[in-house]
Amino acid sequence: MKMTGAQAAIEILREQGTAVVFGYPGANVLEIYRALAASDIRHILTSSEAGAAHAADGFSRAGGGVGVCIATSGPGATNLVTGIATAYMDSTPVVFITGNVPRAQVGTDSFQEVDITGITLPITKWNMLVRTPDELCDSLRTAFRIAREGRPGPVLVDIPRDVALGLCEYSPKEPEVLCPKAPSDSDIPSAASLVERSQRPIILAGGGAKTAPRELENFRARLDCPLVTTMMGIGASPHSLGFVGQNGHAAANAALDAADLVIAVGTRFSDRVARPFEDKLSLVHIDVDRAEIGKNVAAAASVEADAALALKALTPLVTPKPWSPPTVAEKRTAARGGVSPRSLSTVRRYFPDALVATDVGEHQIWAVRFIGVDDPRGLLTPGGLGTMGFGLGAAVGGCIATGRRAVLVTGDGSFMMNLNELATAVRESVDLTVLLMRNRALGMVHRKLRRGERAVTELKSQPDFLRLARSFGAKAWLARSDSELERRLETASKTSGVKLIECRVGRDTHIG
Amino acid sequence: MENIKERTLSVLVDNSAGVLTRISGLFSRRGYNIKSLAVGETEREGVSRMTVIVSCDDRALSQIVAQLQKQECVRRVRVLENANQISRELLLIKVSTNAQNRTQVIEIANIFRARVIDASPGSLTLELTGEADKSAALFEMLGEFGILESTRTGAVAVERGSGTIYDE
Ligand SMILES: Cc1ncc(C[n+]2csc(CCOP(=O)(O)OP(=O)(O)O)c2C)c(N)n1
Ligand SMILES: [Mg+2]
Repeated sequence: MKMTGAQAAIEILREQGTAVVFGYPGANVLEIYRALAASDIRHILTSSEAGAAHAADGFSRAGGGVGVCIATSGPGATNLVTGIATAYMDSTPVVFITGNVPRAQVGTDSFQEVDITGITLPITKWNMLVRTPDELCDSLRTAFRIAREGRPGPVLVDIPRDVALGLCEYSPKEPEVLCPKAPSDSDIPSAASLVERSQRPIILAGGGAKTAPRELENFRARLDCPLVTTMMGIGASPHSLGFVGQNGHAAANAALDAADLVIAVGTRFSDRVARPFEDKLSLVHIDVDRAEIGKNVAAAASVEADAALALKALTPLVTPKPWSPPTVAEKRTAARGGVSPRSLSTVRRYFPDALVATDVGEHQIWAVRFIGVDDPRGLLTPGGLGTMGFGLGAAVGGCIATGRRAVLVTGDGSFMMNLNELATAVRESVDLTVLLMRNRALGMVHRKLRRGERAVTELKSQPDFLRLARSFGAKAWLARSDSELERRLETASKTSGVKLIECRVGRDTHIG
Repeated sequence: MENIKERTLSVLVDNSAGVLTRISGLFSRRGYNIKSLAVGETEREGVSRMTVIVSCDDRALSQIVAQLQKQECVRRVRVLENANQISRELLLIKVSTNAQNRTQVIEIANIFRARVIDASPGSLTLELTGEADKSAALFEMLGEFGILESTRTGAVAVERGSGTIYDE
């Protein structure tokens, strides 16, 4: 079938099962927008491309599919960059499609031209500038395959305007069926024998383990040993003792310390986690990405394979190794008036089933410490890049992907970065409760400065957040204490739509 | 860091747009310094071969190989053992000469099996093929005459014997 490149691009999206795209139009992506308007794909217009990128990322994290995000050339494309890097660091599959200037103008510094494939080279799994209409179908199909294959990640396809206008041949094709990488015959027995020789093994589940919750549970049940997660692995197992690392749970860190073997599944040992491994612990590392094995931490045995297949193969070869990690008290939280971090543990009482999204800062640590998440797709947090301004867009994307309610825990710094997406949330009528932890500070940075240096992190002129939220069409309430927060949560849980609870938090409140 | 030495990597890549940037960017981004790089087409259509020399330890080497193998455009990566490879680079060197010293320069060229490929009243241009240390030695010998300019390619290398990069 002959059609324009733009029409073919939309056909490919449909063939890949894309029902929703997030984006923002402009001149060089107009043909694609025309074809999109004529299709049955739902387009969600965000307030900025940054919001669209985070929404497509959240859509993928929460729903498990591939997020799709479209932007125009130049500033549209550059506005995506932070969102692309966020998805790259956390291995989320997102297909970014950008328009570009017509081919004859490429390289001439024409209006709204940027080299977006050059800019995103180090933060995409793969990208491509499409040079002819004939190349377009293959490039887009390749993009979807690479986004999902092995360790997932973002990809970008840059389409010059005249390529979208040009004619190409489209013939329908089923999406490629991907074969998950199977473990090699030699890796499994050596990993199993290391496990069998250990006395106090522990499972450390990372983001990659969340793709295999059933196999992880079977393996854990068989070994009958403690399980902890990384921050990205939160939700991997309902039996987790908590997450490890600098800001993690004391119980989880203590269990890790007491173990004599760590079985790590789908984690890249970020610098937040790697430290305890530097000298003493023995490690079995399971990861689909061979480049992660031995990159930050040396492994005594490794399995380079899909988590589900590796765990399935290991399970029958191991025997129960029950042991009890030491019991330790969690750090105390110093709440200086106002709402306390710990009060976030009441969120689940009113929102047992909600997605939880966060931004970045103290409030993020409080959220992941105190709001339990026991479903693998239930937490949307930008762990790797630490992107302030991620949460609102991601929450909207997550709600749209799943139809679930979401609770966003944000800070007064982070919220100011992308609060424009409140407009998107209200217009799309998602059920979203925003807990704005207002400590009048960039708390996490504030804490690291000495007393005399702190003026720069104090947020002195702030809007009236309640009236601001209401002006977008959201409901908004104030919470000045834990009991007030609980009452507000109850009201919010019975109210549909977008709601904001401004939680007054003391500036020096933190987890000790 | 243990065991830092020069390693030669042969990388077969798709001959598509942006491949050189992608591969060389991968090295610099992860902090590995490329000492030499050469790229050219192969006997197979659409396939280019890169020879990259890096100085690194064993752990970095396996990381580099793994990162390369992840790239969509990379078909094969092979680490060539130093003892089991033949490598060559090409040097063009323009030496300042006059009637008095011209024969002297030609004699030196002969010792190195370098060829004279251009001559003018004030200069001789030599072509030398060999391993990197041979170029260095020639430089040293010609220094006293005055080197006007020079350029050299990165090294290209293959395995000794009938083994190839295509072998499993
Ligand atoms: C885009 C971006 N800019 C800067 C930072 C550095 N940073 C990390 S946490 C933080 C403070 C966040 O403030 P807020 O959202 O109010 O959270 P709080 O720590 O006060 O709870 C800053 C500035 C970042 N992570 N992301
Ligand atoms: Mg704050």
